[in-house]
Amino acid sequence: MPDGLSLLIVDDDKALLEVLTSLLSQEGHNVVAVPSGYEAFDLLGRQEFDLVLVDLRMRRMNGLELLEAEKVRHPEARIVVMTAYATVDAAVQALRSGAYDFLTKPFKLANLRAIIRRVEEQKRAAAA
Amino acid sequence: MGPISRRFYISIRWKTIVPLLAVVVVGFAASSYFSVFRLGRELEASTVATARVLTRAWETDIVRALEAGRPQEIAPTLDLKARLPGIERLAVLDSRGRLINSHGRLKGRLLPRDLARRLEPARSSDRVVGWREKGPIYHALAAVRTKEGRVWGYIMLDLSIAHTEQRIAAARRATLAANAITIMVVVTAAALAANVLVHKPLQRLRETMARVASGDLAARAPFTSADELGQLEQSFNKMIEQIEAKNKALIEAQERLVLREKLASIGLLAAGVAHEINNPLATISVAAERLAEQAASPEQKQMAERILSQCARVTQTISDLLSFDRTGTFDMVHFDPVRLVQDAIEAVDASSARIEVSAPSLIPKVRVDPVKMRQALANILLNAVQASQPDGKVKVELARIGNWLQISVSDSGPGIRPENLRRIFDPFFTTKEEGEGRGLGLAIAYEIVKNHGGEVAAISPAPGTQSAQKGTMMKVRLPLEAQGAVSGG
Repeated sequence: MPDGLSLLIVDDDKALLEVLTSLLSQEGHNVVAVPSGYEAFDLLGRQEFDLVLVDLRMRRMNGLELLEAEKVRHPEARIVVMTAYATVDAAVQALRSGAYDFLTKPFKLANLRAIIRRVEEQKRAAAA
Repeated sequence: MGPISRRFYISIRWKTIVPLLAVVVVGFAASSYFSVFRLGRELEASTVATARVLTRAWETDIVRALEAGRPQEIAPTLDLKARLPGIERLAVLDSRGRLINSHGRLKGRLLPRDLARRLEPARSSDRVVGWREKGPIYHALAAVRTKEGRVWGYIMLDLSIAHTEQRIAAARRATLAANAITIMVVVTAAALAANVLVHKPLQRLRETMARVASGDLAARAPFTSADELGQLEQSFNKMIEQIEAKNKALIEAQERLVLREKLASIGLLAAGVAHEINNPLATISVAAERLAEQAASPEQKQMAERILSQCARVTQTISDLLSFDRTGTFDMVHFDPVRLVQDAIEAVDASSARIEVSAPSLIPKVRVDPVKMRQALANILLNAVQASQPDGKVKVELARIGNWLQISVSDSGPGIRPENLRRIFDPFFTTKEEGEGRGLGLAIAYEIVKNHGGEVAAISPAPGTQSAQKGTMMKVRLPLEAQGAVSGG
């Protein structure tokens, strides 16, 4: 795919980072993976991504903090929150804070691909 | 066993009998003493009277012989008289107390030692002086006076009182024997009465109490009579019944409490480990899914899919266990209970059983978290459907009972064995085949209903079922608010 998305994946689980990076790169996306909220926030200040996948629970700066901070800086940023402990409360709070979508770990690839497809369509529509 | 039962104690039987025995013995001893004493006094009085009469008579004989001037007749007369039975000796003494003549069986014996002392009282009065020294002999002494009143001498009569003493001894023996027999009879009767009326019933009551104390709350005192002890037995039984009922309620409350604690701790644990399990699972499932997509052969694809299905199973378990986590909030809304039941039925694959719902036309809305309550009801329904025969029916009945909404789910299955009945809400308890059920459905339902302030109870066999199929009835009760909205059913 010539026009893959630029993706940022933020998770302190390195195994998942590696698998997702490899998988999404193979599918033609430009993937950057960082293991902490701080690094992600720093990177997001310098570089723009089509989609950010962020784990909700991380040490120091967690997903929700990153989401809220980034939304202040770039309200148009598309951030998908992933969580290993799905509660309705957490989902509601993430969506209220402006999350693009919500993924419960473990998730199906189809779900992730659906989100990516949606972003691609939005991008195409915006370009047209 | 308390310290009282081990300590030495005196039985109530002895406490009754011993004082009674003492009183009876003292009473009879006193009465015997006085009767024997009186008999002795009477016999002595009669001896004295006899002695007085005989002494006077023979004094007269002596005086007459002296006056007639035939003192030689005195001795033969007295000798003859001294042969009378009971007379041991008849002695004639001169005015200074020296022996003149002695007749009778003891005529050769020494005169009594006390004699000298008795002479003066006999001389100075007309009385017959009587006394006893040792031995069974009564001595009687009288002065013999001439017509002029001069003391000529004395006559001394020794009467045997051996016979009298024998009579007294016999009387004493007879009294003693009679009294002993009477005492024995009285005491035996009292002992028997105390035994039958007091000791035995008390012992039975005590045995019952000991059984109760050792934990057998089913023990009851035998109700034997309507007297005070019988009343005691009755009130004891009543007390034990109350204790048993309270104890049962307490045990049940404790079991419920323990179950809730168990569920809460599982929830806490699940919340703690959810991240640690779901994070690696996310990696595993994504990787497995990728492997399945890129599989070089159908076998590889199958293997990868097997990994995926097992991941899904673990995910489901964690998700179920998280139902016990109480940190989550409830989105409580007023909800139509009939819709709640229908939603739950839809969630259950009910193709194998027909689920019948009956509800009154007007039923109040109930305040629930519809998502959670639907899950609770679906779990209960699923259990009922699985328990029922392939063509068996499951009946759901809604009713308002006081301030409660009751949803009862009855199946037509084989029922639940009594030993399993109290464990069916235990997490991980299942009677299904290995791998078919994790034993969490009813525990989750229980937890959800409890968190709504409600109650769940299983009744098996279900009331009103045919004998062939016992069935089980699960009763869910949810609290209704005092002024609950009423909606058309």
